[in-house]
Amino acid sequence: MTSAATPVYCCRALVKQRRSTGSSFSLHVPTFELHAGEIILLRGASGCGKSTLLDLLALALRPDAAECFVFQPPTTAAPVDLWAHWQRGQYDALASLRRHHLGYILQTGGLLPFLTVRENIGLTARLLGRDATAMIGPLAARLQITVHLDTYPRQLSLGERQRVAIARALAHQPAVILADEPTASLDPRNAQIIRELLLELVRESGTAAVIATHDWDDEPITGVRVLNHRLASTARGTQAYFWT
Amino acid sequence: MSATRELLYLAYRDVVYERRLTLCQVLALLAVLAPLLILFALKFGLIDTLTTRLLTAPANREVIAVGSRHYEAAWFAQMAARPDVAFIVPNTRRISASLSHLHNPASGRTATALQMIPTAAGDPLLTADQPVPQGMAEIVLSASAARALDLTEPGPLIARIARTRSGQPEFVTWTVRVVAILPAATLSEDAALVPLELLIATEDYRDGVAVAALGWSGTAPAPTSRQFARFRLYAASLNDVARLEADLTAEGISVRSQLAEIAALHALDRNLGRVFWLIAALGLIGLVASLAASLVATVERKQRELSIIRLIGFPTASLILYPVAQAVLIATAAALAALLLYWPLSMLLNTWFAASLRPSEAICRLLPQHILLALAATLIGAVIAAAWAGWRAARIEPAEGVRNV
Repeated sequence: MTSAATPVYCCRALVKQRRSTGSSFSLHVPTFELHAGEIILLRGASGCGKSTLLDLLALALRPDAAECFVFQPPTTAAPVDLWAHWQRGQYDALASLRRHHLGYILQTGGLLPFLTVRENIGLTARLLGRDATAMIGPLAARLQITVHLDTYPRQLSLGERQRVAIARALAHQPAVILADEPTASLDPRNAQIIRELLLELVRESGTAAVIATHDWDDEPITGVRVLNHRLASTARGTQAYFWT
Repeated sequence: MSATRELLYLAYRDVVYERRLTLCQVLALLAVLAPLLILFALKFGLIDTLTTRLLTAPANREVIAVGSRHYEAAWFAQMAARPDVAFIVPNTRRISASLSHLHNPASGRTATALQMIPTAAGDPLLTADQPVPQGMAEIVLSASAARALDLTEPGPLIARIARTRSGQPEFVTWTVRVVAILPAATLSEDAALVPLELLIATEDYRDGVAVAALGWSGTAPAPTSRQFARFRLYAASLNDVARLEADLTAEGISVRSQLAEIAALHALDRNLGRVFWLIAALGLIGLVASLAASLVATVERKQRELSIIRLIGFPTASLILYPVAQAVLIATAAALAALLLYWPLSMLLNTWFAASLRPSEAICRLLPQHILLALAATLIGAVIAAAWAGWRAARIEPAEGVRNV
């Protein structure tokens, strides 16, 4: 087991470049640490690199360079060298980390349309061979989607879909929740409700979280750390920096 | 293991949820599979029945002597011992091997100059359940002879043979019993299969020799061993006909057979087989191509869902299984639907052609092993078709799920 002081994520000199016709974008993360139970907010306008950073933390995007990029699973003593996994092409090992330790909330839910709400919520737990039945009820009740458990995502409003996405992300009790613009598609009232629910449930579960958003207001949120951010335009293109 | 099981479940749920699309895919496969099944059933039913009839018809295995010679008992014994000979029986001179009249008292009908053909146990013209005529008073009639005599079931007839001795016409009559009637397809001419001893007796009578067993008067039989002018010979199989014909020709015996016709039959059988397999191969290629295109299109359309599946941690190998499992489900449904279509269609075809078929024959027929083979071929084709889509699915990046959904 890991100690409370060991960060869940630890990154140093993490770089990701993206090129498209006529433009170049590079993300630099000089230092980044996420500790167990900590909530970090990536705040900034669209195109500032927060989704790219989230992709990197989600183990969904290969970095171009890193001095250090490690993940500390809560169940093992030794940290996992993510950069080494990427370099060696150990994609199934990365998939295993995603499966066991990460939970995702996407902009419009990211639910599978052919599964019912109940099946969508239980999917991450079932994938680990766990019986999801017992945890679905309380989670659904907490998120006020009990009446929708046997309906399909297409029958839900966007706000309801986000509630289901939150339930799915928490159902297998991951070490980290990664949320990409979880309220961007919602009206202000629903966005406020979902934001509060998300933060409340994350805090209760003791899970660490990284939330990328452009629409949450600038006011400080208790217990939520906003990551430092700088955007620079150079001759070589746009360069974004995030650091702890 | 739970990832694979879960992914198979997701593939199944996706197929069920997209039921209209699935139905279209099943129908597309059904359009190829159903005609292929009927085609196979016709190949194994109609064509095989016809070619089997032709290939197994005794007439095609017969080697016929042209002209008369003198064959002794030892020659017959030697020929009968050959493994490539299925049946051989001596035959008398053609001129004496006929009945002058055969009269049916029950109908009042008479057949004249009815050919007599020697028979014995193992005669290929007789079916297993037909008795072999014995002695001087039992015969088997061809269907056309029975029809000429208006004889529908075995019964007694009056036989008569005539001769001219010392310028005086003479004849004898005796009662014969028909013990069986040959099927029309076995022998087309008016004829009677008779025991060899009856043929010998009639030949002797016509030669003016007395036949004590039937009380026919004449000169005393010669003390020398009997020689026969002809024979009835059947090869063990079609493949033996050529060698038998060559051996007999080498002995100076002029013979004829259906060799050319047999070669033509073999060629027909071979070529028809090729045609059917060619059509089947083209059909299967079409099926695989159609399914592959449809599955790749599905993977492209489902890119977002597949990227989410990757994002939440399904291993790469299980992603490959996703379109493969869907292909197997769709192909199985199409194969079962094709079988459901096949059964009434085959019954209809067999009913239409029932009059032309013999018992146990079917114009449209599939054996259980054919159905299993068709299912296996369909499933293998489906897996091959899904391989491309599986490869595409495995290459979908999980980041696409984060971004686009």
